[in-house]
Amino acid sequence: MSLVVRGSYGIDTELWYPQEGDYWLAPTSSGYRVGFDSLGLEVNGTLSHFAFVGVGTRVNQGDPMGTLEAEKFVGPISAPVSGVISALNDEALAQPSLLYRDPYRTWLVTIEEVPKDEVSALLTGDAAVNHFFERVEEYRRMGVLAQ
Amino acid sequence: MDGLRVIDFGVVSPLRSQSIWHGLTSAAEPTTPTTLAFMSPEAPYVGIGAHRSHEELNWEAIQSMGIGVIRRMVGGGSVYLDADQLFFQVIAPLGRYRGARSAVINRLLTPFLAAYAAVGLDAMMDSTGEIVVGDTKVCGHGAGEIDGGMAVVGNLIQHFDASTAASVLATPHPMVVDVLSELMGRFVASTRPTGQQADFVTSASISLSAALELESYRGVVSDSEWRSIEEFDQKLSAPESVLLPEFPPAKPIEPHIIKIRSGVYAVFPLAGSPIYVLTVVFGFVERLVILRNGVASDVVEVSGRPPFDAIEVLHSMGIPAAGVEARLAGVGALGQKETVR
Repeated sequence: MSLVVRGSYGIDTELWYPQEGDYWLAPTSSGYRVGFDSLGLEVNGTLSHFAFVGVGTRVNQGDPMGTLEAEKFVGPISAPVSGVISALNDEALAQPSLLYRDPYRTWLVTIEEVPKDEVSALLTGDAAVNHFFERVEEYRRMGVLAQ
Repeated sequence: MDGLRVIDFGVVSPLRSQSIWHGLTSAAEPTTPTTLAFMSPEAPYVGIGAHRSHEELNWEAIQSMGIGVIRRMVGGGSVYLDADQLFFQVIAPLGRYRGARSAVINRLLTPFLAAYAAVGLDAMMDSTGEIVVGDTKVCGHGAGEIDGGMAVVGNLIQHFDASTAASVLATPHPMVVDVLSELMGRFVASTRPTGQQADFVTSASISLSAALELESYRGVVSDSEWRSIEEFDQKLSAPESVLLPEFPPAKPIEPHIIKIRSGVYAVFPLAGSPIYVLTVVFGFVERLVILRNGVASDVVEVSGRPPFDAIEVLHSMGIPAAGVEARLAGVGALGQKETVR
Protein backbone atom coordinates (compact mmCIF):
# COMPACT_ATOMS: atom_id res chain seq x y z
CA MET A 1 0.00 0.00 0.00
CA SER A 2 1.27 3.47 -0.87
CA LEU A 3 -0.88 6.10 0.73
CA VAL A 4 -0.89 9.78 -0.25
CA VAL A 5 -2.54 11.86 2.47
CA ARG A 6 -3.52 15.52 2.35
CA GLY A 7 -5.52 16.86 5.25
CA SER A 8 -8.14 14.32 6.34
CA TYR A 9 -8.19 12.28 3.14
CA GLY A 10 -5.86 9.73 1.69
CA ILE A 11 -5.63 7.64 -1.45
CA ASP A 12 -3.77 4.41 -2.11
CA THR A 13 -1.85 5.01 -5.33
CA GLU A 14 -1.43 1.30 -6.03
CA LEU A 15 -5.16 0.79 -6.59
CA TRP A 16 -7.33 1.74 -9.58
CA TYR A 17 -10.12 4.31 -9.56
CA PRO A 18 -13.11 5.01 -11.81
CA GLN A 19 -13.59 8.59 -12.96
CA GLU A 20 -17.12 8.64 -11.52
CA GLY A 21 -17.90 7.62 -7.96
CA ASP A 22 -16.01 7.18 -4.74
CA TYR A 23 -14.66 3.68 -5.27
CA TRP A 24 -11.40 1.83 -5.65
CA LEU A 25 -10.76 -1.31 -7.63
CA ALA A 26 -8.07 -3.93 -7.04
CA PRO A 27 -7.33 -6.50 -9.73
CA THR A 28 -7.67 -10.18 -8.79
CA SER A 29 -6.90 -13.21 -10.93
CA SER A 30 -10.36 -13.10 -12.45
CA GLY A 31 -11.78 -9.64 -11.93
CA TYR A 32 -11.76 -6.61 -9.63
CA ARG A 33 -12.47 -6.22 -5.97
CA VAL A 34 -14.39 -3.00 -5.26
CA GLY A 35 -14.39 -0.85 -2.12
CA PHE A 36 -15.15 2.71 -1.05
CA ASP A 37 -12.32 5.23 -1.02
CA SER A 38 -11.83 7.45 2.03
CA LEU A 39 -13.86 10.22 0.42
CA GLY A 40 -16.76 7.85 -0.21
CA LEU A 41 -16.79 6.84 3.43
CA GLU A 42 -16.82 10.49 4.51
CA VAL A 43 -19.63 11.67 2.25
CA ASN A 44 -21.84 8.70 3.02
CA GLY A 45 -21.72 9.23 6.78
CA THR A 46 -21.67 6.37 9.27
CA LEU A 47 -22.66 3.31 7.30
CA SER A 48 -24.83 0.80 9.12
CA HIS A 49 -26.04 -1.60 6.43
CA PHE A 50 -25.33 -2.70 2.88
CA ALA A 51 -27.14 -4.98 0.51
CA PHE A 52 -26.12 -6.06 -2.98
CA VAL A 53 -27.66 -7.90 -5.87
CA GLY A 54 -26.92 -11.60 -5.78
CA VAL A 55 -23.74 -13.27 -6.97
CA GLY A 56 -24.02 -13.98 -10.68
CA THR A 57 -25.98 -10.82 -11.46
CA ARG A 58 -24.77 -8.76 -14.43
CA VAL A 59 -24.58 -5.03 -13.74
CA ASN A 60 -24.00 -2.04 -16.00
CA GLN A 61 -21.64 0.79 -15.11
CA GLY A 62 -23.55 3.49 -13.22
CA ASP A 63 -26.60 1.37 -12.50
CA PRO A 64 -27.48 0.37 -8.93
CA MET A 65 -25.73 -2.79 -7.79
CA GLY A 66 -26.79 -2.39 -4.18
CA THR A 67 -28.04 -0.07 -1.49
CA LEU A 68 -26.47 1.46 1.58
CA GLU A 69 -27.85 2.85 4.80
CA ALA A 70 -26.22 5.61 6.82
CA GLU A 71 -27.90 7.54 9.59
CA LYS A 72 -31.29 6.25 8.39
CA PHE A 73 -30.60 7.44 4.84
CA VAL A 74 -30.97 4.75 2.21
CA GLY A 75 -29.50 5.24 -1.24
CA PRO A 76 -28.17 3.29 -4.18
CA ILE A 77 -24.63 1.99 -4.64
CA SER A 78 -23.78 2.42 -8.32
CA ALA A 79 -21.64 -0.09 -10.15
CA PRO A 80 -18.26 1.56 -10.87
CA VAL A 81 -17.76 -0.78 -13.84
CA SER A 82 -19.91 -3.19 -15.79
CA GLY A 83 -19.61 -6.91 -15.28
CA VAL A 84 -20.86 -9.85 -13.26
CA ILE A 85 -20.93 -9.82 -9.46
CA SER A 86 -18.88 -12.86 -8.54
CA ALA A 87 -18.42 -12.48 -4.77
CA LEU A 88 -19.69 -10.50 -1.79
CA ASN A 89 -17.57 -9.77 1.27
CA ASP A 90 -19.84 -11.25 3.93
CA GLU A 91 -17.54 -10.06 6.71
CA ALA A 92 -17.86 -6.42 5.65
CA LEU A 93 -21.59 -6.83 5.09
CA ALA A 94 -21.95 -8.07 8.66
CA GLN A 95 -19.64 -5.42 10.12
CA PRO A 96 -19.66 -2.18 8.09
CA SER A 97 -17.37 -0.66 10.73
CA LEU A 98 -14.51 -2.66 9.17
CA LEU A 99 -14.56 -0.21 6.27
CA TYR A 100 -13.46 2.62 8.52
CA ARG A 101 -10.60 0.65 10.03
CA ASP A 102 -8.99 -0.21 6.71
CA PRO A 103 -10.85 1.39 3.79
CA TYR A 104 -8.37 0.41 1.09
CA ARG A 105 -8.27 -3.26 2.02
CA THR A 106 -11.90 -3.84 2.97
CA TRP A 107 -13.66 -4.77 -0.22
CA LEU A 108 -17.41 -5.02 -0.84
CA VAL A 109 -17.88 -7.04 -4.01
CA THR A 110 -15.87 -8.63 -6.77
CA ILE A 111 -16.84 -7.89 -10.35
CA GLU A 112 -15.71 -10.07 -13.25
CA GLU A 113 -16.00 -9.75 -17.03
CA VAL A 114 -15.27 -6.02 -16.92
CA PRO A 115 -15.16 -4.60 -20.47
CA LYS A 116 -11.70 -3.62 -21.68
CA ASP A 117 -12.71 -0.04 -22.52
CA GLU A 118 -13.87 0.48 -18.94
CA VAL A 119 -10.65 -1.01 -17.59
CA SER A 120 -8.58 1.32 -19.75
CA ALA A 121 -10.51 4.33 -18.40
CA LEU A 122 -9.53 3.57 -14.79
CA LEU A 123 -7.02 5.88 -13.14
CA THR A 124 -4.02 4.97 -11.00
CA GLY A 125 -0.84 6.57 -9.69
CA ASP A 126 -0.45 10.34 -10.10
CA ALA A 127 -3.54 10.64 -12.32
CA ALA A 128 -5.65 9.03 -9.59
CA VAL A 129 -4.14 11.28 -6.92
CA ASN A 130 -4.89 14.44 -8.89
CA HIS A 131 -8.43 13.30 -9.68
CA PHE A 132 -9.05 12.33 -6.04
CA PHE A 133 -8.00 15.67 -4.57
CA GLU A 134 -9.93 17.56 -7.26
CA ARG A 135 -13.02 15.71 -6.05
CA VAL A 136 -12.20 16.64 -2.45
CA GLU A 137 -12.23 20.30 -3.47
CA GLU A 138 -15.40 19.86 -5.51
CA TYR A 139 -17.18 18.27 -2.55
CA ARG A 140 -15.99 21.11 -0.34
CA ARG A 141 -17.43 23.66 -2.77
CA MET A 142 -20.74 21.74 -2.75
CA GLY A 143 -20.82 21.85 1.06
CA VAL A 144 -20.68 18.07 1.34
CA LEU A 145 -17.41 18.22 3.30
CA ALA A 146 -16.46 20.49 6.15
CA GLN A 147 -14.17 23.35 5.13
CA MET B 1 -40.36 25.05 -10.12
CA ASP B 2 -40.83 27.56 -7.30
CA GLY B 3 -43.14 26.95 -4.42
CA LEU B 4 -43.81 24.31 -1.81
CA ARG B 5 -46.55 21.94 -2.95
CA VAL B 6 -48.56 20.70 0.02
CA ILE B 7 -50.78 17.65 -0.37
CA ASP B 8 -52.79 16.19 2.51
CA PHE B 9 -53.91 12.74 1.43
CA GLY B 10 -55.92 12.21 4.62
CA VAL B 11 -56.62 8.63 5.70
CA VAL B 12 -55.41 6.04 3.21
CA SER B 13 -54.86 2.28 3.10
CA PRO B 14 -51.66 0.95 4.68
CA LEU B 15 -50.30 0.22 1.20
CA ARG B 16 -51.03 3.72 -0.04
CA SER B 17 -49.46 5.21 3.08
CA GLN B 18 -46.19 3.94 1.61
CA SER B 19 -46.79 3.79 -2.14
CA ILE B 20 -47.84 7.45 -2.36
CA TRP B 21 -44.56 8.87 -1.18
CA HIS B 22 -42.42 6.18 -2.82
CA GLY B 23 -44.20 6.97 -6.10
CA LEU B 24 -43.88 10.72 -5.75
CA THR B 25 -40.19 10.41 -4.92
CA SER B 26 -39.45 8.02 -7.76
CA ALA B 27 -41.27 10.24 -10.27
CA ALA B 28 -39.49 13.44 -9.24
CA GLU B 29 -37.90 15.36 -12.10
CA PRO B 30 -35.66 18.43 -11.90
CA THR B 31 -38.69 20.72 -12.38
CA THR B 32 -40.90 18.97 -9.82
CA PRO B 33 -41.77 21.26 -6.90
CA THR B 34 -40.58 20.44 -3.44
CA THR B 35 -43.52 18.59 -1.94
CA LEU B 36 -44.80 18.23 1.60
CA ALA B 37 -47.19 15.31 1.92
CA PHE B 38 -49.29 14.03 4.82
CA MET B 39 -51.32 10.89 5.35
CA SER B 40 -52.44 8.42 8.00
CA PRO B 41 -52.97 4.69 7.53
CA GLU B 42 -56.53 3.56 8.14
CA ALA B 43 -55.35 0.26 9.64
CA PRO B 44 -52.25 -1.00 11.45
CA TYR B 45 -49.35 -2.69 9.70
CA VAL B 46 -45.65 -3.33 10.15
CA GLY B 47 -43.10 -1.27 8.23
CA ILE B 48 -39.81 -3.06 7.71
CA GLY B 49 -36.64 -1.08 7.03
CA ALA B 50 -34.93 -1.26 3.66
CA HIS B 51 -32.07 -3.42 4.91
CA ARG B 52 -33.80 -5.56 7.50
CA SER B 53 -34.46 -9.26 7.22
CA HIS B 54 -37.99 -10.61 7.47
CA GLU B 55 -36.54 -12.99 10.05
CA GLU B 56 -36.54 -10.08 12.51
CA LEU B 57 -40.34 -10.23 12.63
CA ASN B 58 -42.70 -12.38 14.69
CA TRP B 59 -44.78 -13.64 11.79
CA GLU B 60 -47.05 -15.70 14.01
CA ALA B 61 -48.06 -12.62 15.98
CA ILE B 62 -48.42 -10.53 12.84
CA GLN B 63 -50.64 -13.12 11.18
CA SER B 64 -52.77 -13.55 14.29
CA MET B 65 -53.35 -9.79 14.25
CA GLY B 66 -54.29 -9.99 10.58
CA ILE B 67 -52.03 -7.12 9.59
CA GLY B 68 -49.66 -6.69 6.67
CA VAL B 69 -45.95 -6.02 6.33
CA ILE B 70 -44.59 -3.43 3.90
CA ARG B 71 -40.93 -2.78 3.20
CA ARG B 72 -39.97 0.88 2.95
CA MET B 73 -36.99 2.28 1.06
CA VAL B 74 -35.70 4.31 3.96
CA GLY B 75 -33.59 3.18 6.86
CA GLY B 76 -34.19 2.11 10.41
CA GLY B 77 -35.72 -0.98 11.92
CA SER B 78 -39.06 -2.70 11.83
CA VAL B 79 -41.85 -0.60 13.29
CA TYR B 80 -45.51 -0.98 14.11
CA LEU B 81 -47.60 1.70 12.44
CA ASP B 82 -51.25 2.50 12.95
CA ALA B 83 -53.99 5.08 12.56
CA ASP B 84 -52.73 7.00 15.60
CA GLN B 85 -49.80 8.22 13.54
CA LEU B 86 -49.68 11.03 11.01
CA PHE B 87 -46.95 10.48 8.42
CA PHE B 88 -45.23 13.37 6.73
CA GLN B 89 -42.71 13.48 3.91
CA VAL B 90 -40.62 16.17 2.29
CA ILE B 91 -39.92 15.12 -1.29
CA ALA B 92 -37.59 16.84 -3.74
CA PRO B 93 -35.69 16.08 -6.93
CA LEU B 94 -32.17 14.80 -6.41
CA GLY B 95 -29.64 17.58 -6.09
CA ARG B 96 -32.06 20.35 -5.13
CA TYR B 97 -30.80 20.39 -1.54
CA ARG B 98 -27.05 19.95 -1.55
CA GLY B 99 -24.67 19.26 1.27
CA ALA B 100 -23.77 16.43 3.58
CA ARG B 101 -26.67 14.00 3.89
CA SER B 102 -27.05 14.49 7.62
CA ALA B 103 -27.11 18.27 7.10
CA VAL B 104 -29.79 18.01 4.42
CA ILE B 105 -31.91 15.74 6.61
CA ASN B 106 -31.55 18.11 9.56
CA ARG B 107 -32.37 21.10 7.35
CA LEU B 108 -35.58 19.49 6.12
CA LEU B 109 -36.60 18.07 9.51
CA THR B 110 -35.83 21.04 11.74
CA PRO B 111 -38.83 23.13 10.55
CA PHE B 112 -41.11 20.41 11.93
CA LEU B 113 -40.09 21.33 15.48
CA ALA B 114 -42.53 24.24 15.19
CA ALA B 115 -45.25 21.79 14.17
CA TYR B 116 -44.58 19.63 17.22
CA ALA B 117 -44.77 22.76 19.35
CA ALA B 118 -48.12 23.59 17.75
CA VAL B 119 -49.53 20.34 19.14
CA GLY B 120 -48.05 20.84 22.59
CA LEU B 121 -44.77 18.98 22.24
CA ASP B 122 -41.74 21.01 23.25
CA ALA B 123 -39.50 19.06 20.91
CA MET B 124 -35.88 19.58 19.98
CA MET B 125 -33.41 17.84 17.72
CA ASP B 126 -30.73 16.17 19.81
CA SER B 127 -27.11 15.59 18.87
CA THR B 128 -27.98 12.27 17.22
CA GLY B 129 -30.57 13.85 14.95
CA GLU B 130 -33.56 12.43 16.82
CA ILE B 131 -36.54 14.69 17.47
CA VAL B 132 -37.12 14.33 21.20
CA VAL B 133 -38.99 15.66 24.17
CA GLY B 134 -36.60 15.10 27.04
CA ASP B 135 -35.22 11.60 26.50
CA THR B 136 -38.25 10.48 24.56
CA LYS B 137 -38.22 10.17 20.80
CA VAL B 138 -41.40 11.68 19.37
CA CYS B 139 -40.68 11.25 15.66
CA GLY B 140 -39.60 8.18 13.75
CA HIS B 141 -37.66 9.56 10.84
CA GLY B 142 -35.72 8.29 7.87
CA ALA B 143 -34.57 9.36 4.45
CA GLY B 144 -33.98 7.80 1.10
CA GLU B 145 -33.15 8.26 -2.52
CA ILE B 146 -35.46 6.59 -5.03
CA ASP B 147 -34.78 7.04 -8.74
CA GLY B 148 -35.08 10.78 -9.46
CA GLY B 149 -35.97 12.01 -6.01
CA MET B 150 -35.16 12.00 -2.35
CA ALA B 151 -37.51 11.94 0.61
CA VAL B 152 -37.20 12.74 4.27
CA VAL B 153 -39.98 11.06 6.21
CA GLY B 154 -41.25 11.34 9.76
CA ASN B 155 -44.38 11.03 11.84
CA LEU B 156 -46.46 12.57 14.58
CA ILE B 157 -47.38 9.86 17.06
CA GLN B 158 -50.61 10.62 18.88
CA HIS B 159 -50.59 7.38 20.82
CA PHE B 160 -47.93 4.68 20.71
CA ASP B 161 -48.96 1.10 21.46
CA ALA B 162 -45.65 -0.09 22.92
CA SER B 163 -46.80 -3.60 23.82
CA THR B 164 -48.13 -4.31 20.32
CA ALA B 165 -45.06 -2.70 18.76
CA ALA B 166 -42.83 -5.01 20.81
CA SER B 167 -44.91 -8.08 20.04
CA VAL B 168 -44.39 -7.90 16.26
CA LEU B 169 -40.63 -8.35 16.66
CA ALA B 170 -38.97 -11.75 16.70
CA THR B 171 -37.81 -12.66 20.19
CA PRO B 172 -36.84 -15.92 21.91
CA HIS B 173 -39.31 -15.56 24.79
CA PRO B 174 -42.20 -13.35 25.99
CA MET B 175 -39.87 -12.09 28.73
CA VAL B 176 -37.89 -10.25 26.04
CA VAL B 177 -41.09 -8.77 24.63
CA ASP B 178 -41.89 -7.39 28.08
CA VAL B 179 -38.47 -5.74 28.32
CA LEU B 180 -38.77 -4.27 24.82
CA SER B 181 -42.25 -3.01 25.60
CA GLU B 182 -41.03 -1.35 28.78
CA LEU B 183 -38.19 0.38 26.92
CA MET B 184 -40.46 1.52 24.09
CA GLY B 185 -42.99 2.80 26.59
CA ARG B 186 -40.31 4.95 28.20
CA PHE B 187 -38.40 6.16 25.17
CA VAL B 188 -40.89 6.35 22.29
CA ALA B 189 -43.67 8.93 22.28
CA SER B 190 -44.42 8.64 25.97
CA THR B 191 -45.24 12.34 25.89
CA ARG B 192 -48.45 12.73 23.95
CA PRO B 193 -49.46 15.70 21.83
CA THR B 194 -52.35 17.76 23.11
CA GLY B 195 -53.23 19.45 19.83
CA GLN B 196 -54.90 18.20 16.67
CA GLN B 197 -53.31 16.77 13.52
CA ALA B 198 -54.72 19.72 11.56
CA ASP B 199 -52.66 22.09 13.72
CA PHE B 200 -49.55 20.04 12.98
CA VAL B 201 -50.24 20.11 9.23
CA THR B 202 -50.82 23.85 9.17
CA SER B 203 -47.80 24.67 11.28
CA ALA B 204 -45.49 22.31 9.36
CA SER B 205 -46.53 23.88 6.06
CA ILE B 206 -45.87 27.38 7.32
CA SER B 207 -42.58 26.50 8.98
CA LEU B 208 -41.14 24.50 6.08
CA SER B 209 -42.27 27.16 3.63
CA ALA B 210 -40.42 29.80 5.64
CA ALA B 211 -37.29 27.70 6.09
CA LEU B 212 -36.99 26.90 2.39
CA GLU B 213 -38.16 30.36 1.34
CA LEU B 214 -40.85 28.83 -0.84
CA GLU B 215 -44.46 29.93 -0.99
CA SER B 216 -46.73 27.04 -0.05
CA TYR B 217 -49.80 26.09 -2.01
CA ARG B 218 -52.31 23.25 -2.01
CA GLY B 219 -51.20 21.04 -4.86
CA VAL B 220 -52.36 17.96 -6.71
CA VAL B 221 -50.72 14.83 -8.03
CA SER B 222 -49.91 14.76 -11.73
CA ASP B 223 -50.95 11.90 -14.02
CA SER B 224 -47.38 10.65 -14.29
CA GLU B 225 -47.03 10.71 -10.51
CA TRP B 226 -50.23 8.66 -10.13
CA ARG B 227 -48.83 6.09 -12.54
CA SER B 228 -45.69 5.94 -10.43
CA ILE B 229 -47.78 5.51 -7.26
CA GLU B 230 -49.69 2.66 -8.91
CA GLU B 231 -46.40 1.02 -9.85
CA PHE B 232 -45.37 1.14 -6.21
CA ASP B 233 -48.76 -0.31 -5.24
CA GLN B 234 -47.70 -3.35 -7.22
CA LYS B 235 -44.06 -3.41 -6.08
CA LEU B 236 -44.72 -2.93 -2.38
CA SER B 237 -47.59 -5.41 -2.20
CA ALA B 238 -45.60 -8.21 -3.85
CA PRO B 239 -44.55 -10.77 -1.21
CA GLU B 240 -40.99 -10.83 -2.54
CA SER B 241 -40.57 -7.15 -1.72
CA VAL B 242 -40.57 -8.20 1.94
CA LEU B 243 -39.18 -11.71 1.75
CA LEU B 244 -36.61 -11.47 -1.03
CA PRO B 245 -36.13 -7.90 -2.23
CA GLU B 246 -33.94 -6.89 -5.16
CA PHE B 247 -31.09 -6.22 -2.74
CA PRO B 248 -31.40 -9.04 -0.21
CA PRO B 249 -30.69 -8.01 3.37
CA ALA B 250 -28.30 -9.94 5.55
CA LYS B 251 -29.65 -12.46 8.02
CA PRO B 252 -29.93 -11.19 11.61
CA ILE B 253 -26.64 -11.44 13.48
CA GLU B 254 -26.42 -13.10 16.89
CA PRO B 255 -26.87 -11.64 19.39
CA HIS B 256 -29.68 -9.54 18.01
CA ILE B 257 -29.84 -5.80 18.74
CA ILE B 258 -33.00 -3.73 18.72
CA LYS B 259 -32.48 0.02 18.67
CA ILE B 260 -35.31 1.68 20.55
CA ARG B 261 -33.97 5.16 19.80
CA SER B 262 -30.44 6.53 19.46
CA GLY B 263 -28.57 5.50 22.61
CA VAL B 264 -31.14 2.96 23.79
CA TYR B 265 -30.68 -0.67 22.80
CA ALA B 266 -31.80 -4.16 23.78
CA VAL B 267 -29.49 -7.10 23.08
CA PHE B 268 -30.73 -10.69 23.12
CA PRO B 269 -30.18 -14.01 21.34
CA LEU B 270 -32.75 -14.96 18.72
CA ALA B 271 -31.84 -18.61 19.23
CA GLY B 272 -30.01 -20.81 21.71
CA SER B 273 -29.86 -20.78 25.45
CA PRO B 274 -29.74 -19.42 28.02
CA ILE B 275 -32.18 -16.70 27.11
CA TYR B 276 -31.25 -13.24 28.31
CA VAL B 277 -31.85 -9.61 27.45
CA LEU B 278 -29.40 -6.83 28.21
CA THR B 279 -30.49 -3.23 27.93
CA VAL B 280 -28.18 -0.29 27.32
CA VAL B 281 -29.39 3.23 28.00
CA PHE B 282 -27.18 6.11 26.94
CA GLY B 283 -23.91 4.22 27.25
CA PHE B 284 -24.59 2.14 30.35
CA VAL B 285 -26.08 -1.26 30.97
CA GLU B 286 -29.34 -0.71 32.77
CA ARG B 287 -30.65 -4.24 33.10
CA LEU B 288 -29.56 -7.77 32.49
CA VAL B 289 -32.51 -10.14 32.74
CA ILE B 290 -31.84 -13.84 32.50
CA LEU B 291 -34.36 -16.65 32.22
CA ARG B 292 -33.58 -19.37 34.74
CA ASN B 293 -35.78 -22.43 35.00
CA GLY B 294 -38.49 -20.57 33.14
CA VAL B 295 -38.37 -17.62 35.51
CA ALA B 296 -37.02 -14.21 34.49
CA SER B 297 -34.77 -12.59 37.03
CA ASP B 298 -32.89 -9.33 36.99
CA VAL B 299 -29.17 -9.56 37.69
CA VAL B 300 -29.38 -6.56 39.93
CA GLU B 301 -25.65 -6.24 40.54
CA VAL B 302 -25.06 -4.71 37.13
CA SER B 303 -27.97 -2.32 37.11
CA GLY B 304 -26.88 1.23 36.34
CA ARG B 305 -23.21 0.39 36.12
CA PRO B 306 -20.82 0.20 33.20
CA PRO B 307 -21.17 -2.83 30.98
CA PHE B 308 -18.19 -4.82 32.09
CA ASP B 309 -19.86 -6.47 35.04
CA ALA B 310 -22.68 -7.53 32.76
CA ILE B 311 -20.24 -8.97 30.27
CA GLU B 312 -18.54 -10.88 33.08
CA VAL B 313 -21.88 -12.23 34.29
CA LEU B 314 -22.72 -13.41 30.80
CA HIS B 315 -19.29 -15.00 30.49
CA SER B 316 -19.70 -16.81 33.80
CA MET B 317 -22.90 -18.34 32.45
CA GLY B 318 -21.18 -19.69 29.39
CA ILE B 319 -22.71 -17.08 27.10
CA PRO B 320 -20.32 -15.84 24.36
CA ALA B 321 -19.96 -12.46 25.99
CA ALA B 322 -17.27 -11.24 23.61
CA GLY B 323 -19.88 -11.33 20.87
CA VAL B 324 -22.23 -9.22 22.96
CA GLU B 325 -19.51 -6.66 23.68
CA ALA B 326 -18.47 -6.56 20.03
CA ARG B 327 -22.04 -6.04 18.88
CA LEU B 328 -22.58 -3.23 21.37
CA ALA B 329 -19.31 -1.59 20.38
CA GLY B 330 -20.27 -1.95 16.72
CA VAL B 331 -23.33 0.23 17.18
CA GLY B 332 -21.53 2.67 19.48
CA ALA B 333 -23.77 1.70 22.38
CA LEU B 334 -21.14 1.53 25.06
CA GLY B 335 -20.39 5.20 25.29
CA GLN B 336 -17.32 5.96 27.39
CA LYS B 337 -16.10 2.41 27.37
CA GLU B 338 -12.38 3.08 27.23
CA THR B 339 -12.35 5.76 29.91
CA VAL B 340 -14.55 3.71 32.23
CA ARG B 341 -12.33 0.68 31.94
